[in-house]
Amino acid sequence: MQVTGRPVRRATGERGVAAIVFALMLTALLTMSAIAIDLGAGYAERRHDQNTADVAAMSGAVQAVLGGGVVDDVVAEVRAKVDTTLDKTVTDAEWTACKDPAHLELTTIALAPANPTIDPVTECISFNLGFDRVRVKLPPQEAIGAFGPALGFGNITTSAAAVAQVEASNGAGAPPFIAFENAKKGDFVCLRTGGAENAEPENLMQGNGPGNAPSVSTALDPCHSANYGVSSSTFGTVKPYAYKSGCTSPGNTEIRRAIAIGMDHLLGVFPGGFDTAADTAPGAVVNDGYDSRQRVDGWDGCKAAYPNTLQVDTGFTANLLRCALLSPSNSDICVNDVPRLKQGAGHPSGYTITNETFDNTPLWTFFRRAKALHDEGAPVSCVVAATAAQDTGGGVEDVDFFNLAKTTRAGHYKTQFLDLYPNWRKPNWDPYDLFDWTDRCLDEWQVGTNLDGTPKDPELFTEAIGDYPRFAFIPQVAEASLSGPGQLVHIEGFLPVYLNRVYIPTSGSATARDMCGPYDTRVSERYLVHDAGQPWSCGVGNDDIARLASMVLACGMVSDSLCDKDSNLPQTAGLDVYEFRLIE
Amino acid sequence: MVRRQGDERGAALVEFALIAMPLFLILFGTIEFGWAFFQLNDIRHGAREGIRLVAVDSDLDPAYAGVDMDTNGERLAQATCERMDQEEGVVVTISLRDLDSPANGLDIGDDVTLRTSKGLDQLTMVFDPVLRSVELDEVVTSRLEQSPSANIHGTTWACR
Repeated sequence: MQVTGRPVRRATGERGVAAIVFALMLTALLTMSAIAIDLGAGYAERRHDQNTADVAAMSGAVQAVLGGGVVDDVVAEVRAKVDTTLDKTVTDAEWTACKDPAHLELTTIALAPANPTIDPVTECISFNLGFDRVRVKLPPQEAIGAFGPALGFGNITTSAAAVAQVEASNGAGAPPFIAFENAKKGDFVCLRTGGAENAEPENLMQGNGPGNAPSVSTALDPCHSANYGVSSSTFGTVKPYAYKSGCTSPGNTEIRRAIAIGMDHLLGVFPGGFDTAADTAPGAVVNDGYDSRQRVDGWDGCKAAYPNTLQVDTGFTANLLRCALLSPSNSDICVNDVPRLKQGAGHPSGYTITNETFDNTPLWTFFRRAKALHDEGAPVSCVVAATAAQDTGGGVEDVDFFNLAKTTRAGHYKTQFLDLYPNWRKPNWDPYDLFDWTDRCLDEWQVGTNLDGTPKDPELFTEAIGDYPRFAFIPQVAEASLSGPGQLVHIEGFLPVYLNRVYIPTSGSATARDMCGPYDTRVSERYLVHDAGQPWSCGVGNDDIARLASMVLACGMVSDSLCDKDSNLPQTAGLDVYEFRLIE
Repeated sequence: MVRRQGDERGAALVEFALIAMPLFLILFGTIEFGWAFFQLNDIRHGAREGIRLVAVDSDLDPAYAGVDMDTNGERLAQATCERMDQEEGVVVTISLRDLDSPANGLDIGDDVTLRTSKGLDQLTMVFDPVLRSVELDEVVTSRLEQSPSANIHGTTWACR
């Protein structure tokens, strides 16, 4: 019974089934575990890759701005950040093999012929034509999985891409002011009004003197949204093409002053400068031998001749104004810059144009770099370099200016200034620099006549005005280039101006409007008009137009970041206005 | 004798014992690795968030001020912590490097490095002998886009 029963049992026996089931289940479990773990590793690697691409793109954008837009440096920065973040070296071969179908217009492959030292040459680091976008796609990275290779699937490969864009902050990176390249004392600049019936800009500029009331309801405000598409979010974006010089075009009305357009101010401009008759014509290109790049010469007063450009809608972009007022980190930048102040009798000569002797010192050395000099007690390298490059007579004459000014007047200025604006104190900026610069202008920069044709404004030669600087250097552009929106405009130079009158649109600068009073008697519906020297009290103690002018200077020409601490200040986009945004 | 040979009582127990060991190893291993990857992703995400906070010198919740966070760096580090899901045990370190020559202080454009790290937190402890010493970390270096607040450099902060 038992014997005969065995075959039957065998036929239906279940012994060993468990082992088979176990084996099958184990395989399935192992596979699923492998997938789960390897996918986990893949996702972790993907996150790591995205971090890498993000910081590489963002750092590249920072380098593009601060490094003066040298493409080799930007690419090197991207590569360095990739290697640092991945904690390994991505080889040339990997970069070369990297493919990025979504690359921007200019890959480093395309850039390589003109930039032979660019490294790496790859499709996976690319830029847009404006050089204000950087795209980085990471060469494929393997996630080290636990089971994939064992099961014959290999490791999971991941990658990531990021695009960083340089943007102007505050929605508007417009330059604080502009003027035409050939603007000079007594020039006429026209406001394009769009129709004779609307045109009374002359009155606008002159205020409402007797019989000459501002035509506040008709004159066009170039910052006005209805006319030039400036929205509340981009208030202050100057539309330079709203202006036109010469007064022959229909619809243009003459303004009997050269004007500059402020972010929320119209400023009476007093172009200083010098006789340029014997100079190179404005706009002419001069290669003076020490700068391989071309520069534009011609308007001598305080001429920045570096070929910068600005975007008429959005203001300065990317690397465009690096030489002017951003604090340079590269002394080479300073070597190539040429704004000069007329050299006074108390200083040795530096540079001569048309029998006028100019200082060699680039203006912006009196901003942050001057502070560095102060802190470190060492010569400003760029000044030394500039002197060495330009000074035919030898000597390093300008490096002591900062200390000289500081010991004479700046301490006084600084005390007053900081009393008024304690929040303006920033780690790497010091009011000393602004005042030193102004002080120098006051001492050495000779101004011709006042707006009304009278001789020099005596105020310019008093120390007191130094408390309230009224100078600005505004970008000059060629009128012919201002044909419409969406363009890049070459900055021909910088024009020294004396801030003479401030108009505050009542529709726009609500803060300034509400904070300031009593107003000039010529307050209109649309503008508050303040002339130099007239008392004017703002809630924060701005009792003179010149103080407002100093705010414009500081906010508009020094650093936007200075202004965000004090809501009472005119909120202008300055030149340190870059923001970096990951857009992909 | 015969009866003993055919007796299957207890077999299931034995088979289960045989199967259970690898089964639970796999199960716990999957759980443990999944948890580990979650933590790894978390600190990587935190590093990414933190480096942005520092790079732009983010405006922080005023409530941080004075809550045992003496420096801006600590506030930034704590803000980084709060952007992670499992911040307990995470240490955030921030260091900056002045790239200018000659050095003129930390400023826009200088390198900032942020590291998030933590010892691996285990759920099952099955693999404790192996995983006990595992430390997860993520180091990200970017460049400053705003002038840094004071006292950021050298920050070491344990998330709380």
